[in-house]
Amino acid sequence: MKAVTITECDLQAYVDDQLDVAGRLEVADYLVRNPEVAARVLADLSLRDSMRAIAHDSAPAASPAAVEKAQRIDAALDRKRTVGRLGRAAELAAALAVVVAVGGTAQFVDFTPRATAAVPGLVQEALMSQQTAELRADMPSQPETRDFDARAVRRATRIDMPELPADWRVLDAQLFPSDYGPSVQMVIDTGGAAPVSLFAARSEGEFPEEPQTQVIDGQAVGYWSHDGTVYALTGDQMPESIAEHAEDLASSQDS
Amino acid sequence: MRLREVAEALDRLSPEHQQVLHLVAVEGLSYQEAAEALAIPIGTLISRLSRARARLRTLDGDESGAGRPIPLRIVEN
Repeated sequence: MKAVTITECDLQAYVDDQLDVAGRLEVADYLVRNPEVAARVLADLSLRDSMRAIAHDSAPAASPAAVEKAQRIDAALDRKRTVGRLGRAAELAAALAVVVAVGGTAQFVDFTPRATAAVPGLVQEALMSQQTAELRADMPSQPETRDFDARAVRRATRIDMPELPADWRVLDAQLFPSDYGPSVQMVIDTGGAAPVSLFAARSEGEFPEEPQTQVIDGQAVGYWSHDGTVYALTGDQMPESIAEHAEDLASSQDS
Repeated sequence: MRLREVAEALDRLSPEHQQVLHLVAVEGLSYQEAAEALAIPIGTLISRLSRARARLRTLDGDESGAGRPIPLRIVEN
């Protein structure tokens, strides 16, 4: 049989039943020859079945808000079934209600503006540093520094900056004093409508490892922690875009 | 018992990871449908699924004790 390269994407698609018959056979053949990977896939299948059982057993009545969200998803999917409007919306509404019920604090991506008082102080520092960077950009006496030496920064601050995507360009990099000790701020051109600011500082506080995105005073901020450092990404981009960039940067630190 | 452990592990995932898992693994949406519903690229969706599952496996292992250190046992000669 011709050797076929099986990727992580193929394994996910296998678990989620997104492959055609030929694709499933290729992955199955690979799993037979790789028992360690097969054990992991079996664990994922078991978790998937458990999630389905939980959803089936505990589906509560959908709230009006959940129904509205479900209808928005339906519209996004452009489903145009005459019966489906109620049928599919009700199914998704129940599903969303399960996410809320099972997940506790789980909710659909919520970019609702938050009260400033509810925002971690370090994230507010990040916002202030971004405003400072904007001021600096307009001042000839404050030249931007495009040379960024990650190792030198790590030695001086114990802060590891995430690896940037290859097509991103550093416009400015500065060390800032903050209430949390030395902090690093980079202004980066992502190729989007406006540059983003990536702020990082060491912190012993409780911050989520998975990126969270909030809109604070009209500004989207995605923040997460990794190995004792807290990162905050902000900029004049759509919240969805900031959330996606934050997710990608956090992903680069997983390996 | 097993379902309760999985539910507790799910509860500790980020909302973003719960969303992708639920839409794809439970609802059975295709990757394309789920990506459109969440307004994210398919690559990001699959990346989130992969990381959500990795996190879930770790949490599930913790819940079941698989990830906990094994206590030392004193053996007398």
